[in-house]
This record gives sequence, C-alpha cells and structure tokens, in this order.
Amino acid sequence: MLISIAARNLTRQRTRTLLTLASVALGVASLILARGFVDDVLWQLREATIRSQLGHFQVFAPGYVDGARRDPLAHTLAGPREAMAALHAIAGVDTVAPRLSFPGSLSNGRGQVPVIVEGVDPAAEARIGTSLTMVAGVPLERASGPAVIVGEGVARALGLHPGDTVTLLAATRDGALNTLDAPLAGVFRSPFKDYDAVAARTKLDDAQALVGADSVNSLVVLLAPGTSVQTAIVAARHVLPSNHYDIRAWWELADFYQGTAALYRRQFLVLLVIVSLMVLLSVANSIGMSLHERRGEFGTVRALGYPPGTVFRQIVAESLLLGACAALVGVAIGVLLAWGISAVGIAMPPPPNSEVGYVATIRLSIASLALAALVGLVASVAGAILPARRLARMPIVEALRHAV
Amino acid sequence: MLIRIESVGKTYQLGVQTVTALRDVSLNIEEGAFIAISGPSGSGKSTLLNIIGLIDTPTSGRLLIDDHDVTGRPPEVLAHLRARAIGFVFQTFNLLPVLTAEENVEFPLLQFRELSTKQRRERVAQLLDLVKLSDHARHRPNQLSGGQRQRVAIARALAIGPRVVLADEPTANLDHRTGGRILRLMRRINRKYGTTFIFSTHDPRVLEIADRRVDIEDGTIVRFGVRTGETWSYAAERPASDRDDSRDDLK
Repeated sequence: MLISIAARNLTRQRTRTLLTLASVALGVASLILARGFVDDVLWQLREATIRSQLGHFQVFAPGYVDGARRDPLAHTLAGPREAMAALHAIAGVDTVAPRLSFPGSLSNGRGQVPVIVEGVDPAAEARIGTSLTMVAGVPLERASGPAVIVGEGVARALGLHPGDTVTLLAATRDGALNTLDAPLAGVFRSPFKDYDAVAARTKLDDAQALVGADSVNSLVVLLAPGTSVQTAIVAARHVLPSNHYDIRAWWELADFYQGTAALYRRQFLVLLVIVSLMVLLSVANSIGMSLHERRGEFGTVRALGYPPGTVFRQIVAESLLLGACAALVGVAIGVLLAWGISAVGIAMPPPPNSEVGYVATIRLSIASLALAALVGLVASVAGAILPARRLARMPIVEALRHAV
Repeated sequence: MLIRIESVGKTYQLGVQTVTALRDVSLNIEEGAFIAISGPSGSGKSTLLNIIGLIDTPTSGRLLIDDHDVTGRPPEVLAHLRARAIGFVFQTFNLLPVLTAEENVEFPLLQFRELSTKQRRERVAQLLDLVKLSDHARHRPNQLSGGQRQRVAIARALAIGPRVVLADEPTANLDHRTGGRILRLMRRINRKYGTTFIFSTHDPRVLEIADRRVDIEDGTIVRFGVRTGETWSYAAERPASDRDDSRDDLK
C-alpha cells in the first residue's frame, strides 16, 4: 500500500509534481546530451588518432619507445616478416603495416626543413590512414617508383607542389649521410597539425635503402570493426615474446588523446555535479513545500500508531517514485533530442593542434543513459531525505496542529 | 483501572516564556466510561487528551495504562501502544485525502500483520456498516460531507478494537444536527461494545450524553461530575494518589 499511497500523493498535486518531474527529467536529459557530446568528441578523436598514425596497437623492438628519439635505427625488429605472419593469424587483425621511422631533412634546393621520415607499405597504410586526406597530388600507393608525400606543414614551409623534386637526407646506421631524390607525389593533411609539420613518407624499400637497414622499427596493427583491442593485444603477446617485442596499445602512445580525454572527462564531471545539485535542490524545495503542507497528515499517521520510520519511508517512497518516473521521462527526452541533434549534426571548429573541423553528434550508450537515470533517481531521493527526516521527527502534537 | 493520571504537569516554551498547560492533574478513568473533559479554550483539555493518547508527554507526574507506567517510554513503544489500544477522532476528521473511506478505515489495521487481507476487509465492511457508510466505501474524503467524514473517522478509530477512543472536539466542525447524530452514534457504540470514550469538548450536547465529566480551567481540574439522572453530582478535586480506587469519585 506504501507505493500505492505514494503514487496517489504524487497525482494529488499535479502541477507541482509535473514541475518537479520536469526539472529532474531535464537534468537527466541534459546529462545524456552532455555525456553523448563528450563521448562523440572523444570517439572521433580516438578514430582520428587510430586511423591517421597509430593503428589499434603497435609492435616495437624492446627499448624503441623510450630510446627512439636518440637512435631509432638501433631498435629495429628482429624477424619482422615472421612477426607480421603471426599477427595476421590473430582473429580480428585486419592490417599489419610495417614502418621504419627516423629523423632526417627534406630539401627542394631552395630550402631545407627537418622531418621525420616514415618508410611505409603504401597499400597497408592506405587501409590504416583513412583519416589522412590528400590535399594535393596522389597518395603514395598510386605513385610509381620512388616517391615522397609530405604533411601540409612541410609543403607550406618549403613551398612544395606535387611534381617538385625533393631530396631526403638522413644518416645511415653507420653514421654516414645519404640522400634520396624523388618526386613529390602529394601533400596530405591529418587531424594533427604537429604531425603534418614534420611528416614525410616514402616507400619502405626506399627508406630502408636510404638508411642502409633491412628491417623496420614498428608494426602498426589495424583491427576489424568490433574486435576488442585488449583481447587482440593479449593474443599478440601470446605469440610475440616480450623479450623480443614490445606491444603497446594506441592509448599508450596517444599523449594528446589522453590529455584531451582527461580534460573533457573533468568538464563532464563538473557538469554532473552541477546538474545533480540542481536536481537535488529542486526536489528538496518541492518536497519541502509539499511536506510542509502535509504535516497534519503525517501527524495523523503517527497518531494512528505508525512509528517515525514509516513516515520517513513513505516520503522517501514518494521521491523514489517521482525520481524513477522523471528518470524515465528524462531518458526518453534525452534520446529523442540526441537523435534530432545527431541528424542535423554540430559543426565543430578545428580542435587545437588541427586544421580539420568536424561534425559532432550525440553518441548514446547504455552506460550514459544508465548514469543519467541513476543521477536523477539518487538526487531525487537524496533531496527528500532531510525534509523526510525532519518531518518524521516532528512532535505529533505539533504536526497535528496543521489540519489535514 | 484503565487509565490513571497521577499529578501530571505540562509546561512548554513559547519563545522566552514558559507556559503551564497542566498543573498537578490527577484522574482515574475506568473501562467503559463515556467521559467529557470540559473547559474553555486554552484550559488544557486538549493537552490532557493528548497525554492520555500518548501523542504528548507530561513534564511531570505519571500516566498508567492498565496499571503499567508508560511515562517516559520510547517513541516506538508509545507508537505500538497507540496502534493497539487507542483510537482517535479529530475535530478536523484528519482522513488521509488520497485514500477512500474503506482504505482510511483499513489504514490502521495494516500494522496488524496477524490479520489477513480478507480479515481486514471484513472488519472494514462491518465498521462501515456500523457507521452506515457502506454505500460510500469507495468515496474519497473530498466526496463526503462533514458528517460522513466524521463517521469514517469513528470507524477508523474503532478498527483496531481500541480500549479507548479519544475524541478532540468531534462536533466542532459539524452542524448542529450532524453533530448530534455523531454523538449518538458514539454513545451507541459505547453502550454496545463497552468502548471507553473520552471527549475534550465545550459542546453542551456532549455533556448531555456523557456519564462523567471533568471540568478543567487554567490547567487544573476544578471539579468532577457523575451523572445522576438528568443532573450532575459533583465532587471536589483530589489527586488520585491520595485515594484508593474504592473511593474514586468517578466510580
């Protein structure tokens, strides 16, 4: 009967109940939208990170990640072909792209800029680098013979255009200087300005010839959609012993993503606290007013022999019911708004360290809906606890002075 | 003795002032009595009724029910005693507005876990029949007249089979005719079932049908009256502790 009485009490003052329900529901909906927006921003950043540079995980020679800056060629993989074959055999692995990266410089005869040279397998990189956009010329896989593509920042620094002849200059493993003359096939833009300002890519064979190496220093692995990164890494660690291979997930290599994600999550946490407080105060105010008017009623309940705990539970039950209804309504509103906003899209300016804008949507997940609903429910109940406690402890005679 | 009040005093704070609502009140009430506590507004009759009903606590003195001292018992114990032994009829009816008449009558019975739903419903039906409101069982309080509400309140008070029903100005919000009917109903119940009724009132009609009266002024009992035919025979106030039960003025 407790729930039945609670439900009837909620319908007794429809306007007030609806107003309280609306404020809780709007709080829940706003949390869904805010969380959905943050999730989408992070998802897009994650995809851009994975599909422009990092893949889902990479395999290095031990010591490369920490020592590459000093001497990348000193940390090349032993037996890269066997490692690639082993990785391909893992369920869910879509592409394995070998890379040889080392510092060098790029010159067009008029000027010279420092670059990070990446020797890549063009066909494999084409599958991974879907976030790389060619802004001029053609991608590496469509160029015949030795060729170079550079990031937009490098091209801008030297005034390069497709068809220009450029010279890559790098130190060999033995310390000698070597050069590669090749035509500039194209200019690309990634989501990361810093990368575009230093990146120069050439075919793996040409890069190996340039530095006199026959190996690579990383294998970039792209997984098929729906494959768990962690599961794939566990499988990779199983087939590639750790004394010869250092396997790192993309997030371990993405400092910018980590920083951005931490910032957004903190902002969302602040919003979560603010919305929770708003819901809590709204419910506390509404329940407080309602209980103030119903003091006589609860005095009667106590006079009829019900202990203070029953009064407390009755009030909390009403808030719980109100919070549950409001959470459901809030989720429905949030989902509808998310669909509507996502259909239109939110045009976003280029984020820091990027020149590429994007269209954000509201990304829904069971976890975000559940969290928003839970916040609405908990804040509703929490808002009622103090008024309920106060009323349950009020002397019966004092409560009864306020006639029903 | 059903209820024994021994030298009860009640004071409370009103801002910086200490107000004395009752002073040294002693009273014995036997089972089956139909007793009116009478006095002007502010005389302390409602406070006395509240103390007897265990919804207020005395500042001094003792309250005994069935010779058990209940003074200073914890709220849970007092709540249990109220639930099992005391029925209330309020001046403003105090029905729960979201419940129907039958649900209001059933409400105190929900504390009796030993009763099945069927037993509860049967008892509610009997009580609504007793107060002649069977036809209005599904009506909510706002669909009932003042008299009907008070009859529902009486049925609710009787639902638990109380030892005593406390009625605080039960006719104050009713018209003359309806008030008369309500009083006759309670008198009939008192005679038929032996239920003890204690009224706080200044309605002369209550005094007309009461068999005992306690007149109270400024927080002090000024006289006890026992009906003898159409008149009252009065006795001077004396604390119950000074007397034995055989000499009780109310007997």
